[in-house]
Amino acid sequence: MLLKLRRSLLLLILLLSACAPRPNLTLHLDENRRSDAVWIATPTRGAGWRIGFDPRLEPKDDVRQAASLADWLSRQTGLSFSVYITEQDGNIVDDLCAGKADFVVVGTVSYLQANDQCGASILVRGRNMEGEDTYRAAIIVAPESSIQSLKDLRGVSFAFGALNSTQGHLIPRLMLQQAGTRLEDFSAYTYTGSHAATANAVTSGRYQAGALQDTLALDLARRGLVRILALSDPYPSSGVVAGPHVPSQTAEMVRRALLQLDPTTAALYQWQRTEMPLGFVTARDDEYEDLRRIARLIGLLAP
Amino acid sequence: MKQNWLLLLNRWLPRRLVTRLTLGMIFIVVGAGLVTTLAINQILAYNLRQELSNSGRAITTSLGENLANALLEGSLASIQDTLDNAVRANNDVVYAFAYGPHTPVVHTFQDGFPLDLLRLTGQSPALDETLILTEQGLLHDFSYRPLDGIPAEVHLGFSEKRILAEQSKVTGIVLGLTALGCLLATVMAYAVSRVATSPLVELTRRVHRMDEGRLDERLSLPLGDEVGELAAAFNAMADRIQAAIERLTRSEMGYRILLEAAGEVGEGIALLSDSPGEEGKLLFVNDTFARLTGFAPADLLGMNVSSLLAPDSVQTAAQVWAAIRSGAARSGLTELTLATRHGEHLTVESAATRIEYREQPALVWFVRDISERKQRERELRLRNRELAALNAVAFAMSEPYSPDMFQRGLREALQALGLEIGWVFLLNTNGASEVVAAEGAEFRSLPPRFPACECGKILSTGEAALVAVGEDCLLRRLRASSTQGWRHATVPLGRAGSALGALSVAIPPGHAFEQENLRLLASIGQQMGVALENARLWEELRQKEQLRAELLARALQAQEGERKRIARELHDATGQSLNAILFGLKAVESAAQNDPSQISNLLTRLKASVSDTVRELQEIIYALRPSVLDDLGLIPALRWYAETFLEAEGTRVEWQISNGERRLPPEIETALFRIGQEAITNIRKYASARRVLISLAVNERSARLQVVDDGVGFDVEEALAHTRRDGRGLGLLGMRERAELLGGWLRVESSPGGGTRVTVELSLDEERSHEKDSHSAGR
Repeated sequence: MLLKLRRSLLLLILLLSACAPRPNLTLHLDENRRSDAVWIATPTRGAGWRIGFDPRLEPKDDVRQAASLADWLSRQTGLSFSVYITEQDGNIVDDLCAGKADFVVVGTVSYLQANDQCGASILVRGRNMEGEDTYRAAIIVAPESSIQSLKDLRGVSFAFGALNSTQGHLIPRLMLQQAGTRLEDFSAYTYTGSHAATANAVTSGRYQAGALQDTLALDLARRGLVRILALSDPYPSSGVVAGPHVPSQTAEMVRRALLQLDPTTAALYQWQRTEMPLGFVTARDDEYEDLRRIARLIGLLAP
Repeated sequence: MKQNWLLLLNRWLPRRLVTRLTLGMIFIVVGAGLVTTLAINQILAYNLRQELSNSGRAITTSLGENLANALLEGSLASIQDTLDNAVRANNDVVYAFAYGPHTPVVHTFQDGFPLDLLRLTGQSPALDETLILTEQGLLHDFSYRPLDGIPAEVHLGFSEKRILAEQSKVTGIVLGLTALGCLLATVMAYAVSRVATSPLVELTRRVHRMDEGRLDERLSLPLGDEVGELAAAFNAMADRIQAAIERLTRSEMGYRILLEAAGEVGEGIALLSDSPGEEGKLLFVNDTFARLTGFAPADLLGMNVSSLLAPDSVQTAAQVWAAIRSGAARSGLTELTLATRHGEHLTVESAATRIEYREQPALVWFVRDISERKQRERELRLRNRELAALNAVAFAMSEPYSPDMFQRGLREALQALGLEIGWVFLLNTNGASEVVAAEGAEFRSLPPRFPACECGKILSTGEAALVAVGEDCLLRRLRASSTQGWRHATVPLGRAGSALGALSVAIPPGHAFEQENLRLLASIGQQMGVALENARLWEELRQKEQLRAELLARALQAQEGERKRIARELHDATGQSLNAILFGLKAVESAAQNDPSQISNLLTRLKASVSDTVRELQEIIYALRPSVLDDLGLIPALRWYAETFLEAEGTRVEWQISNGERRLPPEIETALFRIGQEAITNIRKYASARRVLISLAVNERSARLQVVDDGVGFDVEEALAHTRRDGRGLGLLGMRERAELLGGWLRVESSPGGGTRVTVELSLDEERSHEKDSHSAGR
């Protein structure tokens, strides 16, 4: 009995001693300091294929979606894919054309620019929640706004999305053009950089009207936060573009893989928030002519 | 080992149960407090670390998520601001740094970034915690990579200071509570212990009372708990003990009564254990036994009996007891020597038997002190030997005095003492000595120097002397070369101051001559002295008896002569006168008838005849005993006699009387008259004296008569010798006998031609008859 008690006490002491943390490392924080900028060495490019993307949501979400797609492609094709992030002052179209990125998930504007710039080819385009491989843009106003039609936009402040955004800029410009409204007609206009910022600008009242992707606009309208003033015609949605340096076999392998993608079963990061929530369909370059024309018209493409 | 650890603990702990329980409770509380403190400390630290880890992970993750965009976008200012806010917002965070795919390391260090922290970057998984030891102590580095596969990380460094502070705080509180708990536990434990132990105290008190003999007391504690059950068990045990003790008491009572009864008659009794390993251990002793050994009874209990026995008795006792163990019912009487506490040795007579005492084998050992009896026996043997020797000596010397009696007495003395050489001195009237007996050597050939020698001192001291053989000693003088180392013992014959001689025995070298022997020799010497004196007295008595017989014969002869003289005188004078008177009466009768005128003449002559006859009868009677002695006393009687027998013959008598008018007792007067009559008769018959002086002096105590003449005198010794030889001169002895019969004395002083002086003195004391007897016996 006494022996058991002694053993139990010893075990308790050992256990309590084990609770005390043991450092994994010993570091000297007061020594070897550098006052200038310290850069972490990033690995140089390897043999894998890098997937870039067009900023659309928050950067981290864009990255995570692209990363999840890269992982899926790696598993699907047996090739190695990774995410490519454009530098702060860089441009994904330039990077694709420069060969820094191999594949990019971009909107129509960026595709048109890449195709225009270096002959990049589109592999697939996405299917939206309705299963369609097109998308629309919406002109929104505050629910209580007095603006009732596109013609009422003269003299109001207007918020676009990103400059290169198809739904936030390109299609709305086309809609405004068709409605006979020019940029100069606005009392003020801006490029918010994203659909969310545009929605915030309108719902907050900072801008009287704005251009949004149709899905977000419909969602906000359904919740009564905005009122859709106009919806565009359907245009080919965003897609996956291969750089001109990507071998055709690889591009074809990627296209076939993407066509097989079922986002409902594949572990993709918030894929429903993308413009291809139901996967991809084959895309052809001629399907972008209207948009290419207007893009060129508004200066998004070189004349 | 465990038993030792418990014994040591038991020895170390206080004896009182209350104290033990209180200490136990304190130990428990302190132990529990310490363990609790330690456990709480560790659990708290663990939980705080978990909380730190969780919060660190959450904060880092949140921060990473917040910074993800900025990191991707390269918004350094935003990153810096976010990191600074993170450090400010959380006291535990001591540093933060982050970097993105296209940014340098953004950090919160004021004096540059520690390059050692780069070792923490590039780790997997996405969220990680690394414990690092730094100059600031232990830090938890939480890293988060918000974008998988993208070189962007956020690091937050969390300090453990808060954990340590919380630990210290909680430890202090718990220790304080522990101390308070100790205090409360002490009070409670003491109170509870007192309450809990009070039945035990009561039980202990009852046990003590039981130990004091109160076997009839019982505990009345409620049942239902351990103490109650203990009390019940105690009561049951007390019942059994009481019953057992009563049985044992009854059993022992018999033993004790027996032992005490035996002790009362002087038997020392002891109970000895006979259990294996405790043989001889004293279990009980009675007062007599203890008194014999000199110990107190309590001191003897537990001692081994062998320590009470003399070494030579241990083996004997062991053999006796072994015989009892082997089946003998009891031992016979055995004499043993008991060594007392004071070192004395007592001879005891012992017996033993085997019994069951308190269900254990034991021996009852009876001892009786026979030392006094043994001493008496020894003294009796000595006394017997002495008496035998004295008897032999007395027998040897019981015969009439003769030189051989000393030889026989000496022989018996030597035989009693186991010696061979001895001699006897006798002192003569002039103080010189002669050897009257000798054994082992012919000492008579040498003139003795006793009492001038060393051993002559015994005559004055009257005590026996044991001296070395000296130059004056007969033995040395006879055997000069062979008396080296010899001693001799000399004792006086008779009493000190009146010793008649000495008895000596020679003691060769190496021969033990103890005080008992010296005392025996002294007794023999005294016996020989008494025998010698008795022998001399007997001789004197014999001579006196012879003389007395001669006196008696002479007295009878004188009486017969006196009767003849009286008869003759009565016949020659008084008878003739009476016949003449008878004839005269007949003549008167005849005259009365024939011639009455003659009657008157006849009666006149007859009257003269009767007067003559009366005078003649008076003379005869006066000669037998003068009536003047009875009528007038001693002096007139003596005057009458002296005038009649001395002065009538021409001797002049002179008188010196002092207090002579006093009448003395008749026997004194008669004795003095007869002695004076004898002296006067002797003077008249033999002295031819011209003058005689008769003096009488009477005082309160004595009467002295002295008759002195200036006659021819005579040799007194020779006259007495003649008297002893042929009976002549018995008058002197008769006078002396008469004086001594009345406790007086008589001295006759005379020499041829020197006259004679006869002096007699008689005691007038009323006790003279006794003195008379004693004087007679003494003479």
